Amino acid sequence: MKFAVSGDLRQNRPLRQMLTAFLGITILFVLLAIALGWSKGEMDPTTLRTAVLGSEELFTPPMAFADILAGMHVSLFLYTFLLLMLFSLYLRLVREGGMPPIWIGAAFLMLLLDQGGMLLIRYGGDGWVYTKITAFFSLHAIMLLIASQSLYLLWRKKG
Amino acid sequence: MTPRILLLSLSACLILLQLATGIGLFYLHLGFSPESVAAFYRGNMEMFAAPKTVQGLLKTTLPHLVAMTVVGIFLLHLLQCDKGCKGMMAGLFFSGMVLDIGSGYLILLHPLFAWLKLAGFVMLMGGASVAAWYLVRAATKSRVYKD
Repeated sequence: MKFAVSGDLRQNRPLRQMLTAFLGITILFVLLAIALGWSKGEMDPTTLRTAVLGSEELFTPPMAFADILAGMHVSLFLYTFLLLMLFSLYLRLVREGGMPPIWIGAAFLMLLLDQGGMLLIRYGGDGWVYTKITAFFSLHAIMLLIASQSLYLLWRKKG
Repeated sequence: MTPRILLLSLSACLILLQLATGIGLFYLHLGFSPESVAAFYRGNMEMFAAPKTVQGLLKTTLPHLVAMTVVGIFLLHLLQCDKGCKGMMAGLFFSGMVLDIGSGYLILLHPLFAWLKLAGFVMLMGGASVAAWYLVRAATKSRVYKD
């Protein structure tokens, strides 16, 4: 068996199909992540504040440091590798023009703020809920944009 | 800095952060003394902590086997040094990984294996951190990784 990866990914049919599946699943993942965040109330500042800082009226304790760290541990691994694969593919597909490198920096910064957001809210003050929500939306929007554009670049006709 | 180098550097930075959360979780749950590590696995009557079950350990082992292997392959295949150094780093990382994961089961048999757990964790985290740090340094200097 021989693995053949040509310089132009669009010329390699099986590889193009695999990459289409990867991009499709990534888009689905992003949409599901947004839906999950929405259903858990993480898009609403008041609900997010209550979930992290607890509420005396509702008798809910604040989120434990170990729980925040455990969430970060899993998500950092998952999102770092997803961003790495997504941008690696995008950079191979886009030959000229495309998005400037600042988008890569922006995506990683948003990931950092999204994942560190819980710690910032818990120990830095409840004003950070807006940063966390903005970072969550921005990160997923960038991922959707990159995945959609990669899909388009993969299937567009040469000319 | 080219986009590919930026991407590699940022990914390695976040992996370093992810490793830091792993060290934090290890400290919070197991502690860094052999006694506390053994108590975590074998339970502690005074603290009302039940011993870990094999099924419980398997639930942790399964995702970690995948995740650690992916991190190891990513960091080590990009590591640009001579074959001896690369082999040593790979040996350190993967033997640390086997010791770290496997010793949890052995501690259920005897508390002395807690030392093995600590040694495995230090080897694993040491190997991964050095490889990630080297990657960040080499990528930002742009000497090794050509676009």
